[in-house]
Amino acid sequence: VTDPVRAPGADHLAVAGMIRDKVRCRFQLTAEDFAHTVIDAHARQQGPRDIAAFAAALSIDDLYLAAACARGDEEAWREFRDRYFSYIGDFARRFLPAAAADDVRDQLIGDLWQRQRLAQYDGRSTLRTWLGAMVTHASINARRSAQRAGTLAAEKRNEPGATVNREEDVARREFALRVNRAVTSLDAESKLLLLLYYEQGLTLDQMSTVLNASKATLSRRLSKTRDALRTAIDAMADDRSPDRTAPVPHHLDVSRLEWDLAGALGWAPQQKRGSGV
Amino acid sequence: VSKQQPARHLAPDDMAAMIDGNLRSDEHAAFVSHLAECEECRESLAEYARAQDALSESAPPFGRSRMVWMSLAATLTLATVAGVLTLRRQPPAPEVPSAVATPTATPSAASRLPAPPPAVAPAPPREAPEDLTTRRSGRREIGGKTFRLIAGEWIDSAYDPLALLPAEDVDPSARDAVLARIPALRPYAVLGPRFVVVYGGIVYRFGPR
Repeated sequence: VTDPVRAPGADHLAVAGMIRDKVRCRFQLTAEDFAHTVIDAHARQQGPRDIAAFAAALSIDDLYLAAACARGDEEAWREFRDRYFSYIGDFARRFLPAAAADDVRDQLIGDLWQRQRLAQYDGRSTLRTWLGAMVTHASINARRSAQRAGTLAAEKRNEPGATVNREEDVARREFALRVNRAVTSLDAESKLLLLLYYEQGLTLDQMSTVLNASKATLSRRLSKTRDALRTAIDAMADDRSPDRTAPVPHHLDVSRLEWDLAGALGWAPQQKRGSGV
Repeated sequence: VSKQQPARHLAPDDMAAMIDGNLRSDEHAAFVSHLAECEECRESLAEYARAQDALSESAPPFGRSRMVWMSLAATLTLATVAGVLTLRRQPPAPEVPSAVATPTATPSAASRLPAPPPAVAPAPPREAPEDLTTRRSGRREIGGKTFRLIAGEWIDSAYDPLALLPAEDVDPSARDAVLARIPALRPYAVLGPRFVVVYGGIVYRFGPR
């Protein structure tokens, strides 16, 4: 990752100085050597930010730990083990049964250590968030593999509601079509907000964790988005759907929208249930 | 919506940087656009959020528990100081030379002293704000009806939009008049400013529309 024999330039001196100010250089990796890691990460980003601003935005102590681990520093690995091994296992158990979670944990730790995956950590997030994202990715893959192999129950097979009557199903599909058409008219940010809330079923607490916004802000934005969606659906009220002969009902009101939005956004032709209309 | 799967998914590194808010604005916009279109990446983000949330709940951070204990300690200290000050304002009982007399020092002193304040006053049950934030526990039963909190609004479980019942929008300015006109709706007023209730074959939608 780094080249300790590189000649120091102005950037290197500035970064090394910042590192000495902000990082307790407790492993064999010196501030001067670690500065090369930061400079390399900045070069990989290819962004407009200057290196000082780039370095200031990094989780610099976590990056120092990761860089020291990547160099095979045993002290650094001990610290990494103490701080993160149990977290990795706990996080994996949120997705998988204990045995499968332990497999994911062991596999990930093996990748971090033997395959130098930890050297790819770039400090743009905390190590904790980065490891959480890695565990999430690995766990979802493991779960999909297991489901494909039939070793885990596929819950959706037994979804309730497979017996909805034909008229209701038709009406719901009509509604879903219109909601989905209206959603495509929203900007990406509003669409994502709506989908995380209604399609993925996240709470505002959970959304604030991943979207970096307060619950109050998210609540306001969601409310505005629903208003925009309602307006878009209202605008369709006199249209005729291109693939349908029935006119869009005039009674698509906000209550119905809120009541049915989760179902409508989760609806897709391949998920069609019941009547096969 | 967004069932297509773009060829290149967000890498865990990118997702982590997004979660920690350390993306350039152009990167952020690109990732948001991708997430709005890619169900698989959205699912990953949602799974992370749920797992992180569950982990936080199962092991509350030290800081949070410390805050609870600190506030309890502060309450206890204030109550003790208030109690001592109250006692000091009373004229000392002749039998008890100390200014800080105990209530049980003598019957006469005890009869003059106010009841000592409780060490920690029991906090009233906290009313959850009735907005989107209560969604997780968003279920209430009132007058034999069940209401669910959906997107900031309490919805009567009897409400079926497909039934196409006649509906009446009740603006906040008309709320009192409607509740006076239809007393049977009054118990549901505790649901707050926005709720939908079915009564007598009519859907009443309270709150601003």
